[in-house]
Amino acid sequence: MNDTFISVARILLFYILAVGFLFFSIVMLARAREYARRRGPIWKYLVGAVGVLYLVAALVFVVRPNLAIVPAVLALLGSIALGLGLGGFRRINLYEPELALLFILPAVLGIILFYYYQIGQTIIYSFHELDHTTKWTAENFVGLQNYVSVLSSKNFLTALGFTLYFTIVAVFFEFWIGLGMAMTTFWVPRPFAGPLRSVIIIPWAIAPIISAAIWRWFFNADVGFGSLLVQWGLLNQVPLFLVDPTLARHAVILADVWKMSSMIAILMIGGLSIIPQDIYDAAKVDGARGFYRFRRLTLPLLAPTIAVALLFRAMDAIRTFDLIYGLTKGGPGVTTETLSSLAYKFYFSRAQFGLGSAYGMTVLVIVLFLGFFYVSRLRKNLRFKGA
Amino acid sequence: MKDWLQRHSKGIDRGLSLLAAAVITLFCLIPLFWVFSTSLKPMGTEYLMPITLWPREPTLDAYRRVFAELGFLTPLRNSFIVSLTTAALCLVVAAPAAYAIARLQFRYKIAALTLLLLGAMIPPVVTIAPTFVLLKSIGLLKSLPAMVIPNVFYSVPLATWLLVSYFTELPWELEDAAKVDGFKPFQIFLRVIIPLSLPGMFAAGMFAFIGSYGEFMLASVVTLGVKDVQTIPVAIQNFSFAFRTQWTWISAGVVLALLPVVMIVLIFQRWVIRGLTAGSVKY
Repeated sequence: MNDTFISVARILLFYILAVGFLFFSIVMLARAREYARRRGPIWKYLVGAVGVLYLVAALVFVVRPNLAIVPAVLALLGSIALGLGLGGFRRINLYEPELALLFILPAVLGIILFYYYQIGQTIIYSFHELDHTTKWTAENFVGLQNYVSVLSSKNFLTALGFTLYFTIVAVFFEFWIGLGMAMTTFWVPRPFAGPLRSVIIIPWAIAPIISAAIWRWFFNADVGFGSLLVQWGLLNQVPLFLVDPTLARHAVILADVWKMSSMIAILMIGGLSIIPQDIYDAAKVDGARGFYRFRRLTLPLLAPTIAVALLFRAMDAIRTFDLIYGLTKGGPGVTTETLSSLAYKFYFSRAQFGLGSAYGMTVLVIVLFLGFFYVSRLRKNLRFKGA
Repeated sequence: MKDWLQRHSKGIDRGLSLLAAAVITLFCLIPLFWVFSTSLKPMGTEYLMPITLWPREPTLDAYRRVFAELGFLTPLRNSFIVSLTTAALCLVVAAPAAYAIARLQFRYKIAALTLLLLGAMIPPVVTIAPTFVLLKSIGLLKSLPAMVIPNVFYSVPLATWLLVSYFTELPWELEDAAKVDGFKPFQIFLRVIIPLSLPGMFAAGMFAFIGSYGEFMLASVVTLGVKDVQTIPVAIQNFSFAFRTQWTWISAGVVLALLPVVMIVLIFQRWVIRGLTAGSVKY
């Protein structure tokens, strides 16, 4: 407990110092850049060189964290020296962009450390043969060998196939069910709308691993839902949801659809609520009826929401891990293994970080491919005062 | 017949809509009901045939056992500590960032926001191994901060994105008035913006709470099987495989694990919807 406290204090101190130093030196460098313009090209190149030092420090930090201290200190000292030399202290108060930097730096630093830096590490791992047991036992550079063995393994193809199948089928059903749910909340009489929305949100809020446990009991071979159907005379034979490969695949999909239709429904409720009511009123006056109204009015007006929601959900579905791990653990055999759950197994069951990282990178590639469309879709609509 | 339909069209419409609502409710709640009714069955009777939807003699025995013999209080406590700390720290980090993006003049707004959004997209399976090594090298494994620190930054992107949309909606006159009164930008943030966007802050915190309450991959890795630092998802996963036949116990644990989140969602339904929509669709 005491050790923990000390390490937390150390991390906090490191974080605050890093934010402070980074902020101070970047401000100095930025100011120096302003003044250098007036002073001539030599100063400009100097400022540029110090700027490059930051990049060097960041890159070295990914590969050899201990060595990064050299370019980092050089960059800090260089920017402070340049800033002071060129008159960075002529004004003590912060300009607005500088204040913005101070505000945004804690978040950005953390995100870079816990996302982008870690990706760099994973890429490095994926080029090594790493067996992670009690200590690092093997650390040989093997080039692309991990990728070769991943791409040529049969399990990879099965997992890739199931991941894609899972994503497409699950998102398809989630979209239609979610849309139906969302439209129903606008359809029911007023007093029912609120409670219905609450009910719809519940599956979404439940932790994935817990919903997996719920469904494992629901699909129980002896006294699960299947047995109940037999008991009611609706089926002749108890379906072995989690034992039969085909059924298991679709059982996983059903569990995901149950949980994530809610997510789509929430997004659609938001999209539907910003469609102005008078458009519908006008359509009603014109005599447009139910299905026609839906095809010609609701769907087109909802299109931007739908695009974002589908991309968002697809990216989420491709990296599904918790549900698989809690419901089937990839079984029977490897039939319900997704790329993520396979990567996790390589990391923490077989302690092969190198191979696991190569698996992880394949997930990243697919997600980023979709993410590109997602971000460009969102960015298209971003407008800020003063951007 | 046609006449009758026309005269009652409003009533039929209502009836159909309520029917749809009932189907949706059943779809969402059946698995939960299934687990809940199991948790009330006396131990061992969950395997009796024929299956009963509701136990003949409901008992809270399973809950008592889960607390007394399986020590469920520890993961419950741990989960609350982790999630509440995460939510609080996440707001401390995300609120200033969101304020800067929404309200301050600088050039790299879109770039900063894209950095956050892209970060939120990165699958956890890509970062988990190096994060594990990092936490190990600073000696934080088997402790609660090992979950809190990464979780804070896992929830920062959504919180920032959400708060940005809140802050941009506030009227600019407020800020101008505060400036006239001689407030510095930092004071404006603390004394004007924050108090006015408490609902938004609350919603953002709630998402951080729900996210870290359900986070499993990191939690399962850093606890290394130590019972004292297990959070709820890890505890449920472990004992649902350790006592794989005692489903009354597991169900009781599941119901207890669900309760806090379900309560939050039921109470703050409106904010959840508004928050999530703002976080990804609204523009």
